[in-house]
Formats: sequence, C-alpha cells, structure tokens
Amino acid sequence: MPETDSDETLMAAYARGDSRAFETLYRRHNGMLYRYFVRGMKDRAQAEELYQECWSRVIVARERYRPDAKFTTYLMQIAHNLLIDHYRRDRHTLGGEAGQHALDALSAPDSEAPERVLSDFEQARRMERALQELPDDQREAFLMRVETEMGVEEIAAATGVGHETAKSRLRYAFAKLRASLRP
Amino acid sequence: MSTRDEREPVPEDVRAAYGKLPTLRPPPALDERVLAQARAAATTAAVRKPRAPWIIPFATAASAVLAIGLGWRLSREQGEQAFAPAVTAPAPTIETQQRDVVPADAAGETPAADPDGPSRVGAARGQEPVAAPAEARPGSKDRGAASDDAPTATQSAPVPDRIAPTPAQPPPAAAPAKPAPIVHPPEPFPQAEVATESAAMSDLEDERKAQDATAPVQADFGRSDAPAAPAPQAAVAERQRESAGRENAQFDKREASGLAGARTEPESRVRDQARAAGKTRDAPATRVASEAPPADLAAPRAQPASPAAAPARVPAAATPAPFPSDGAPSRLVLSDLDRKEPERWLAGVRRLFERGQRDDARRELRDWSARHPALRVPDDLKPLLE
Repeated sequence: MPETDSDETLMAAYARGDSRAFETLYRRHNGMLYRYFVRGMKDRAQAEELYQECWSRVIVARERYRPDAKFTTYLMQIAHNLLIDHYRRDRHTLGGEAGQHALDALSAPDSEAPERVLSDFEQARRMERALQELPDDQREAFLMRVETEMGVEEIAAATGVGHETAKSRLRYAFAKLRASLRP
Repeated sequence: MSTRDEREPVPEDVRAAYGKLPTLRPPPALDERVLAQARAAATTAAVRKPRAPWIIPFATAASAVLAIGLGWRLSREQGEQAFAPAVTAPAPTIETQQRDVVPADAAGETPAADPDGPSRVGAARGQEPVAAPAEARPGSKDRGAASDDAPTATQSAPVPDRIAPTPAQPPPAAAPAKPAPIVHPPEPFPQAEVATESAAMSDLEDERKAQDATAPVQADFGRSDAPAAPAPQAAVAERQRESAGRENAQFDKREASGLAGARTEPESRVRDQARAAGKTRDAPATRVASEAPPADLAAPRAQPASPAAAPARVPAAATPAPFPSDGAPSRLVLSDLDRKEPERWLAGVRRLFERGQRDDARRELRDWSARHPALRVPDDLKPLLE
C-alpha cells in the first residue's frame, strides 16, 4: 500500500482486510492522537488506555466507515467522545500534586545550554500548566487545532458543536494561553 | 473545504511555546498492541467464510413456497368448511331407505345396462295397463306429483346425479312403497298389449335412455311392484312374432308363384302356423293347443279373461311365436296339410321323432293309425307305439 494514499483510501483498504493499510494509517496519526490524550488528561496511564481504546474503536468500526468526512475528523470524533466520557467520570483537572507530577514528568532537553534549557523548560512548564488550566472544551479545541491542523469547521464537526462555538473556543484558548505565557 | 472552514491562526508565541513541549509518542509496546489487534481483526475477517450468495434467494424462495402452499391449503379448507354447512344431509326418503335394506345380490341383479330394461317396464305396465304408461313417462303429471311429494331436502341438497332425480315413484295410493324389492311371479301377459307393445317399447326405450342413470334405482327399488322375470322373454317373443310375420309374407309370395314345393322346413312350419292362425283367427287365443308355446308365454295366453273378449285381444298380426324363449329348437307341429297325405303324415311323424318330440310323434302316429287303419305302421316308427 503506497504511503501517498489518502487516509480514506487506507481505511477502505483496511476495511477489506488489508492490515498493512491500517499500519500506514496508524503511523501517520499515532503521535498526534497520543499527545491529544496525554495532554488532555491528567493521568498518562488513563491517556494510553483511552488511546488504545480509540484505535480499537477504529478497528472494530472499519466496515462501517464511510469516507464522507476526513479520516482525521472521524478519528478525533472518536477521541473526543472518549475524552468527554472521561471528563464526565472524573471532573478533576490537573492541579495540585497531580499537576505538579505531570510537570515533573516532562523530560528536559539535555543538549542545550543551561540558560536556554531553563528558559525553554520554563516556557514548556508554563505552557503545560496553562494548557491544563484551560477549560476542557477549549483545551480540546486547541489540541485539535495544533496537533491535527484541523480547521474550525472540522473541530466543530468532531466535537459536535456549531462553527461559531468551536471558533469561540479556539479564540478563548489562544487568549488564555498567551496570557499565561507572558512573563 | 468550505469558506467557513477558516483556520483560526494559532498565535506565534503560543505555537512556539507549545513547540517547546516534548514530542510525545506512544510507547512501542502500545503501538504493537494496537497493530496486533488490527491484524487479528483483519485476519478474522479474511478467515470468516463469506456468506453464501445463494442463501438469501433460496431462503426467500422457500419461504414463499411454504407461504403460498399454506395459504392455498388454508383457503381450500376454509372453502370446504364454508361449503359444508350449506349441504344439509338429505332426509332419507323411503326410496333411500329401501335402497339401504336392499341386499347386495339384489343390487347386483339390477339391470342397469340391460337393454331389456324397458321390457321390464313394459311388463310392469302389463300389470297396470292404463295407468302405468303415463306413470312411467318422465314428464308425466303423475310422476311430477310424485316428485312434488318427495321431501324437499332431496331436491335442494346436492345429491349425486344418480340419486337426485327422484325416479318415477308410484303414487302412494297406487302402489305403496315396500321396504324391499319383491320379485313378483310372472303376471298374465295381456294379448291386447302385444299390439301396442312395439310403440310403447320405442317410447320406453327413449325413456330408459333418459333415465339411464336412475334406471337401476328405479327398476329395483323405486318400483317395488315391477316384475322382474319375464322381460327378456317378452322381447324375444316380440322379435319372433315379427320374424314369423315376415316369413309368412314370403311364403305366401312363393306359394302364389308355384314355388311352394321348394320351401324350406322353417318356411313350411311358419306357413303351417300362419294357416293355423288363419283358421283360428276368429277362435279364442287358445287355438294353438298343440303349438305348446313357451312356458313363460303359454300361461298368460292360455288364460284369457273371457272367451268373448279373447278374440278382440288377439291381433291379426299376432302370430304365435314358433320358438321358445329359451333359444331351444321350436316344437314341430304338424298341420292338417301334413296330415292330408299318409306318407307326408308319416314323414312329419318321423321329423317329430327325430327332433325328440316323442310324445307328439306318438300322438300323431296313433292319429295316423286311426285315420288309416289299413296302412301298416313303418318299422322305424313302431317303437313309438311300444
């Protein structure tokens, strides 16, 4: 299966039983989806669990897939539903010990100068903290935008909201992040 | 991508700060689990037998056949059930009751296809000379009345054809129905009926054809008063009388043309009978005392109602039957012409003797001896006198 095939073609091939098509598709989107879950949740273990669950749903629903929308939108819609369910089960947000533990888990680059490393580490820490402080819907919209380069309409379709709502969520997320990143 | 699908630009500082976050990737073990699950699903789908393409059409066709068959059967049963209450069991008429008690052997003797059936009816008419013909005709008023008297159930109910048309049931006053067929002994055969027998026979033949289906029932059960025995004999006698009439006419022609000597023996016999009939034409019907008619016919003819009425009942063409009804050789009777000459008389005696009519031969020989005492009885005929 060529690497240049679209996501929809690969998914259709996998629906016919081509496991290599799914492997190609998986390699394209595994990092983005993994980050979406890890940065959208406080617990990495739960994030990995949801990550695997999201791909499992794609595998199970392969025969029902219709290439009416982009595969990315389809995938993120599944991820959003899983994440919403998780939010509903646990309204906790990252903060306190959990938030600190998450920030501590961030690996620091080791090949840079200490000042630069400190600055970048500080920026990442601020960014991580500001991201966790965003409301769930705004954080989710932001993650979809920066991780998958989805447009407002796609975000709206994936999250099941209106266009203006998705756009507003994005703008609010950008504003809060910029405010958090200012020194 | 629609125009509304605008990509809200991510601020550069926000994008730069987000880019400073570590590039997270799922662990290889997690990747392997997901990929293994995907391969297993794909393998299971490939191994899974494809559904037989013919199973759905086959199942549909089988269901349709079953449904149609079941529906047809149900509709048929419902139709029968709907028809069944309308069929009321016909009330058993006297006739059917009689039919039930008829023994099997009597039913077997039913002359359903017997061409002599009309003769039997004719014989029955002999018992009732006046009323019987009108009664026996299918469209007669009496019969219609009899049918009207029948229970309505037999008319309205769908009874089989052989039973539905109630045969000419005799009026209760004339001949009450009897529970079992009674075979009457041969009744006296009226001579007056012989003249009209041919016409009546033709009518009755048509009637019999029309009532062919009902004839068995009618003859044996419906008409309990119908005599059973003499019908074939009457028909044979009728044919014999007609044959004798033709032979007499031929004989007269030959005799007029001088060919009397070349006549054959039956012609001679018939001629003698015709002559005897001519002599006794004015005499009672018992004029052929020596003819010894068939046993079944002799009795009626030998018992005229009265001597005065007898001549009127003997028609001119009613030549006595020269042959017995059982098909045996006819009894030879010597005429006065045969007795006119001694040799001829003896020849007649010899013929009687040769035919086995020993009594007749003996009687004729005694008469011959008395008439011709001077002549010697031939040796071959002497045993008759012993």
